[in-house]
Amino acid sequence: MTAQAQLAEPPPASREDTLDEFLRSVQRRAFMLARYATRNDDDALDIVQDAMTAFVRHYRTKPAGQRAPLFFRSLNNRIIDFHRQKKRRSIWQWPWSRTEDMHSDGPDPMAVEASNRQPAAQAEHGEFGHALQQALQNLPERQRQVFLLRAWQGLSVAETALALDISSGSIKTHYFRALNTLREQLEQHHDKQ
Amino acid sequence: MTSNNDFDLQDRIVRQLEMEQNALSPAITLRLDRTRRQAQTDSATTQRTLNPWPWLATAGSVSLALLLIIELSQPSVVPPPDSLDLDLLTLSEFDLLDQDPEFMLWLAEQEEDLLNEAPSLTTGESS
Repeated sequence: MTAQAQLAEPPPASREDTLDEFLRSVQRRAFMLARYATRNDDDALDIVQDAMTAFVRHYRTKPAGQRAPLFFRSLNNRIIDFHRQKKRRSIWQWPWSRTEDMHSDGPDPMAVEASNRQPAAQAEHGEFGHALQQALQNLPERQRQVFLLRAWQGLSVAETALALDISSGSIKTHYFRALNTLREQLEQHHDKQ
Repeated sequence: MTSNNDFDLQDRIVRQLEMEQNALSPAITLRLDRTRRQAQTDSATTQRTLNPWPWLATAGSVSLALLLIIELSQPSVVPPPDSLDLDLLTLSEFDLLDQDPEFMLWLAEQEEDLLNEAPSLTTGESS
């Protein structure tokens, strides 16, 4: 009990360290999730920074076990805000500037990064990696988030539900659908190896 | 519902994603590190500075409540009657008229008669 209490209430200095370690452990995944959602590196970095700031401000004292779902909840909220702002901006733009804006983001950063890789790395990532990028990009936003949080981040159904603010039943449905779609699109590439 | 093949596929996807995340460019990794440090510094400074919005909201609510209390505690003001109306209402004739209109008509006739008779009386006295 004493040990548990010590774990729950560590001294401020060590809490800072573990918080930093936690953020370090999730920052790349958070960035990739945000990049899938925004298709833009700068926007993704802004979202990650906002999510981290909000997380540190509101949940810095939470126990370590609750950090991941709460952090991804912050991230999800920032992604939703990003889409809302984008939608609002597009409503007030003239049709011709809207067309310009569509192209102003430039090429898909995932595709650019994939093409910039060294040949050896490209061979390593291979056809499956490319197909996976495409398949994930084509998934509906919610399904992709559920799949990545469950399968990649390793959150439980309840934790994913907390992170995305939807019911556990919806999590299961989204996960099942995402897995089905991915299987359909990746089966041929998966079987090759 | 999920077969072994699904587990294999999921496992492969996770491995691929891990590779992708490790293959992020050093520039992005640097920016992420900076972002992480910045977020922690930002939130620390924000915590130190007093956020004015809750105070403003509280002050606004208190002043609104005070205004409502003052407004409700004031007695309802009836506009004063017009002075002319008041004079008319206080005239004694009106009271009498209310009591006996026929008497008032008779009184008026008597007054007229008295006025008509008055010159003859004066002339009579003089002659």
